[in-house]
Amino acid sequence: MKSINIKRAAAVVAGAAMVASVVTPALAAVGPTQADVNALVANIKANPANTKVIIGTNGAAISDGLAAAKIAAVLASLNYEQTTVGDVTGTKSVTVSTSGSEAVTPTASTQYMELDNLHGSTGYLADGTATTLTKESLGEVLKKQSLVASSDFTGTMASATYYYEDKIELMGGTSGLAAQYSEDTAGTKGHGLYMVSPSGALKYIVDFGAGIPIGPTIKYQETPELLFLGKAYGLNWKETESGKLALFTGDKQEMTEGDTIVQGDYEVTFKSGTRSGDKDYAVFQIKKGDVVKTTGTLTTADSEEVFFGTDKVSISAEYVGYDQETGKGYATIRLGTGLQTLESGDAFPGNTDWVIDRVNTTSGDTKLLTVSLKYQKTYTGTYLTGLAQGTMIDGPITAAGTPLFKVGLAGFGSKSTNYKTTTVWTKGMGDYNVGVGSELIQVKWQSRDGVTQKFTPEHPGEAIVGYDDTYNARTGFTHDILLNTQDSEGHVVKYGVINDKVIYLQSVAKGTDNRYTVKFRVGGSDGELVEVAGLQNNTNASLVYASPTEPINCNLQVLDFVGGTVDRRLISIGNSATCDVLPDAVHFGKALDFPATGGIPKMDLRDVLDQNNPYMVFYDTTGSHWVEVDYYSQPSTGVQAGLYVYDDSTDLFDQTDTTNFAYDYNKYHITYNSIEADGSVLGEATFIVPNEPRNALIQVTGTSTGAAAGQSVLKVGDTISNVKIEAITCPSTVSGTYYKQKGAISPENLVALDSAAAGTYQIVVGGPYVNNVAKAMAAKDMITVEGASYVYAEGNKLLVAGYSATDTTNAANELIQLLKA
Amino acid sequence: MKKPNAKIILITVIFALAAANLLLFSGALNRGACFRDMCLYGETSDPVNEFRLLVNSSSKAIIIAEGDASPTQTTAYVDIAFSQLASDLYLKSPKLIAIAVKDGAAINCSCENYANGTFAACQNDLVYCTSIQPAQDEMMIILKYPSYAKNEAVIKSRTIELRANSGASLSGMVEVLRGLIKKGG
Repeated sequence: MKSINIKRAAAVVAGAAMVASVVTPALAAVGPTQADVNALVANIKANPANTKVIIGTNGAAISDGLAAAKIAAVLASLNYEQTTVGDVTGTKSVTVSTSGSEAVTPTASTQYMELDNLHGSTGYLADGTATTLTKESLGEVLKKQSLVASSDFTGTMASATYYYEDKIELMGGTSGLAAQYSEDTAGTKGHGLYMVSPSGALKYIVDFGAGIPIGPTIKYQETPELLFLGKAYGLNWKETESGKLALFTGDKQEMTEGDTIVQGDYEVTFKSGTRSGDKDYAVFQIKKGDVVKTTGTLTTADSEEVFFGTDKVSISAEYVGYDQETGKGYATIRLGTGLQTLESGDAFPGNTDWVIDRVNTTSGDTKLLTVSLKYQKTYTGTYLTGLAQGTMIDGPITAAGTPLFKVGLAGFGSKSTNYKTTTVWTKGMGDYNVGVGSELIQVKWQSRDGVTQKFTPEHPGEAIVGYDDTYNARTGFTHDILLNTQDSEGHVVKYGVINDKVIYLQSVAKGTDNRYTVKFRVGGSDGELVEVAGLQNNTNASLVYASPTEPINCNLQVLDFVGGTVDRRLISIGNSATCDVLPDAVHFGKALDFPATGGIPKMDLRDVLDQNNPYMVFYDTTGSHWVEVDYYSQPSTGVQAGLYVYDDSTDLFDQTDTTNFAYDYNKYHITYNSIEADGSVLGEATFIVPNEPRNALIQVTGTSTGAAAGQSVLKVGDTISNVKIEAITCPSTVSGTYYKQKGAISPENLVALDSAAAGTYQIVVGGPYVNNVAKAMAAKDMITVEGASYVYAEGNKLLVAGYSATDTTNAANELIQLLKA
Repeated sequence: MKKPNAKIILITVIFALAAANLLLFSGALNRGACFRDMCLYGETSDPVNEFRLLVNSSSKAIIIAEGDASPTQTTAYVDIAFSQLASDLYLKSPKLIAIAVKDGAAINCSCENYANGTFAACQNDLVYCTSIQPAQDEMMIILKYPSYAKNEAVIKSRTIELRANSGASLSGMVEVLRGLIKKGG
């Protein structure tokens, strides 16, 4: 393609006389010299934002456009640099505002710690080791701070930076913090976990690490300032010692001799400053009303309490200096409500439940190491007052008047080998006044994987849950559930409960190969089908059911008995760690209570366990080691409601016989309610049984003061409600290789028409016949020679053109090579 | 009296038009978003965002420009639009294809691939140039030879085709699209 109308110059014009310094380029000639081109190209490369590609408007072919487009793209690339970074992630946040006058209350982060090794039949004691929280785990609550302690005048003590950090400590051990499950209800507390703790098991500690120097021999130029619970105090290093923390209270104020400050009812005047030897002294006058009092001579770290009747004020000299040139004293004082000396057992200022536990120093009281506060609320009975499951106690109160954190029992922890049910729903059938064995209670609950379990035997003999049986022990195999047996009335035992799930025996079929196929339904008679095939008589097999939270893996045998006319194929299922056939008992206290005058029965669960309280049981009524669901009539108390495992292998169930009951009622916390039941179906009640296993979960949560109505910025982890989202900031995560713009391209176009040519540097594409800028250049006539292809520097312009389209393309490619060099 | 430079006036008008090309309406009625001097159509009811999504979801770009084999003013404007797009999309390693058109028919083409900071010739084959399709992570912009009755940009199958009634209009249309990219972020 030809880019220009060829006009052969008859004469060599002045421009053509310029001898181009051809440096044998691969693609095009450069001129006037290589050095000229190199210099201009260097400027263009350094200033891509101030360079334009100029396209002519007199006419251009599409090939010129391609050349210009390539140059423009390369030019744009010069404004970016490739770099590689690791992950750079900013903090994502959302800004919210409240509606109306409701305050925004973002909450801080929460830490959970477990007290493990709970044990005991009547209560659990945690004997885990002490747990300490630091800023790493609860950064929104616990801080690490620094202070700079200034050197003294004489230079015998250098300035240094000291660090101190907050910690929370929960003491473990048998004498330490303990969580106990208690049914020792009082009032309406119900059952649950309680903290059983002697005073001091819960601590807040300020740890000074290697320690900050204290003692009368220390010479600080100015008293170190510490932040305790958000309030600034001066450390009285002269008075602080083991067991005693001495602080200067009040805000710091700087004074020059002669100054007077007013704080509250008090007027303080710096009366005089003096120097004696290497010490500077100050005397202050304090006035309240008409009463004027003068302090003694104070030097750095001295303090004095001044009494005005029953009122007192403390003046602490954080720093006292003297300027010999001016002859004036200088001082930094704190005016407080009294000197603060805290010893073991003293409540920390602003607190009642948190007192000084220890002020720990090095031997000889040369350094302050730790200051700890302890939660000193006493406990009554078997639990720490106020620290019951579901309630939180306040940590030390800060200067803002809010607790630094809250501590409470969140529930049971994560360690347990027991499986248990969650929500249990019971429904009675028929007339509760009928005698023993005639009514059934269906049980429905949700297993921990969220699947509804239905225990719905239609006959008393249909249900067997499990029992600790050695009656029919076999070598290497002990079965704990025996399904497919029959009671005396011919009812076949179909139901069992394994690992929180109902196992319903659907069928046992014998094949022509004398092997058995057993079909179960998990969850109820209409539950998920699980088939175990190929079983041989009296040979171990496995019943496996996959579940994310409650898998089942049981030993399984088919026991093919032929006794008399009955062909029994008993299904024997053995208890193991993954096959818990012994559901645990949960007592619900008194069950349905039918009012004597009729009406809707109520479920009342508040009473403590006693032998007269009914509960729903799976028990053996015939003595043949079956366990069934049945209804036990208690005329005075109505339908039983509870889960209970019966371990009496000797006799009929006898509710009055508690000694043989192997139940363990301490594993659960029960949320009790007074539930009104639907009288038309005899009774319905829902029992919420937490699915958390044993161990006590201690929850420590930071608190926030709550923002005023208006906007607040929240981070991930904060919770909030009733707000409107105002803005969302999502800094991107960048990693790997990316291109960073070096400078703004301004103006935004790298390309311009010749009629609007601008830019500090111009790359002129096309010859004089198409491009007016080229037409004005001295080098224009060089392009009119057949075969000419040039990259020509002239002032701030670089001509990129050729005689033909191919020549122009070559020139463009030559320039691109130079730009990328 | 010196005649005013017609070209200058024309150019001034073009950029004034581009500046005034605010989105006038868009809607499901015609599935188009119309600006003052062009309409943008897509495969969805929101062609503006469809275009932005096409740009943002593409790691590579193919830019095809159709123009005269010989120098013309029309093609001068096509060239400037071509160059602007090449510089704007350089981060998408653009493949640049210039198709020479005569009497409405493509007569030859040149293809250049961008890689490693420079360009290298690719397949200079007319069949290749006219049948190339974008891959799933690519976008293609075709600047059709400006001989259409109306100024329309049509998005389909990861391709946006600009059909203009003149070179100046085509250049203006590209300016509008560049503005959409910048506003979309």
